[in-house]
Amino acid sequence: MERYRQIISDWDKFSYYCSQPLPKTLRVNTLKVSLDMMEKYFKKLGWSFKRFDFCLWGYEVQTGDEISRTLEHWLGYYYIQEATSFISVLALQPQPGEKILDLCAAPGGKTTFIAQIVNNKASIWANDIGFRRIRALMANIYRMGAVSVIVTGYNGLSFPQKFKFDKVLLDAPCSGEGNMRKDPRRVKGAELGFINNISGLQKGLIQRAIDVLNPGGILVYSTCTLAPEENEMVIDYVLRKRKVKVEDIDLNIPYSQGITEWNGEKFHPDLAKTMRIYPHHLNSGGGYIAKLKKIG
Amino acid sequence: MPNSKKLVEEIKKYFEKRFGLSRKIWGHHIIILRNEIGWLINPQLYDWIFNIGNKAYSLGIPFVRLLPKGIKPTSWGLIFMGREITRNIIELGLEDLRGLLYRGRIKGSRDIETGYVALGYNGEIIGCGFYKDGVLENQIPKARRKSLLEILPQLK
Repeated sequence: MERYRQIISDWDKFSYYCSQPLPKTLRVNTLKVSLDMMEKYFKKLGWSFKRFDFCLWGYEVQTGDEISRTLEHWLGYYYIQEATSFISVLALQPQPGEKILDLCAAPGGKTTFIAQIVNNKASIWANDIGFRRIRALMANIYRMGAVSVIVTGYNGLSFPQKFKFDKVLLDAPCSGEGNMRKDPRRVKGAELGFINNISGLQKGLIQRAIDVLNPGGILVYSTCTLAPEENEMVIDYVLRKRKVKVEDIDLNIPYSQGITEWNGEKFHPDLAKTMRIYPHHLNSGGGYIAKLKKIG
Repeated sequence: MPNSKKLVEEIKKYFEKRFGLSRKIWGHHIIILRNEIGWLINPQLYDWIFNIGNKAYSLGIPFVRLLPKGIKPTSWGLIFMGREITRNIIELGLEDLRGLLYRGRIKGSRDIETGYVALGYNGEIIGCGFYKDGVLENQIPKARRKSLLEILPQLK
């Protein structure tokens, strides 16, 4: 992570939070249970809880219990989800009636969150590759009662262009550096060779994601890594390759602006509209979110 | 699938009669038949279903399996309907639940007609069972049964 010292202004705070365990956080699934009802369940379970400031459905809970081992979890009343992973879906602002693609959807936390926000009243397409990933995705869709979702297994790079969407979420495969609090091996940061390789895949995926958008459609690109090669450099690349513009993300949360320069390379100035989330912002993992609009 | 309209109507009637589901449910959800499964979807998905052909792994949630001997509700479907189910619920105590999950069946005469039932625990619908001649059989799929067994020690 040392190579990010130059771009993370509050380095001491960042380092401190990286060394702390993640809080237990979850999203209450209002497709199945009301918030009031779920708060009663929390009390019954003996958990203390605090609602997220930025999202009605997000909770941090304090308990010695393993929060995946309850009947309420098994029934799909909540989904264990980190604060950072709420942001990309909130940035997408899904609306009832829209056609929405989640291109790399497994294991389904963001897909089912989209279904929840639109109260199962949109057409949501969840795509991923690999049998195990798809199986996990389907299990979570069924558990959360997301009847508005279909699942396919296309390679994202060749997702059929005959299908068009109002919104696309591309939560891209990445080096996962932002998961350092879940997996301490990641504190060192990912190897540059791996980062450069996966950056190529991300550039391919984002182009296809834009190609399947309707004109005026919205793409949210997100990762759970801090590497500029997988974040700003991907967006900077696609701004040159496709007719898109960077949109402001209208969310009231602490964040750092996307960087506009890295290792002497200058990027499009609009990259400052993108968001870097560091562990100290939301007491979560780290990540990156960019919102793009397809022009014409 | 031949006679699909007729079959969908049959499924709806079955759920109304067997589980007391209200007709109103079908104003918000529709059933699509694919690969021997009746899928429960929201009406907005309908347009896509025909364009996508057989490429979809999953459409909404699997609601019923279409077996040669008839309609079999899925545990996912019954859990989804949850509190809408008013008939043929077998409410289990912890020991009965444990026995059903470990042994696959439990004995005990109940005032219920032969057929599929909704398994209840602590006021929640937790899946599908089959009741006949005083024997209740588990119909919760293996992976779900396993994960439910893992949380059993936490249940009270």
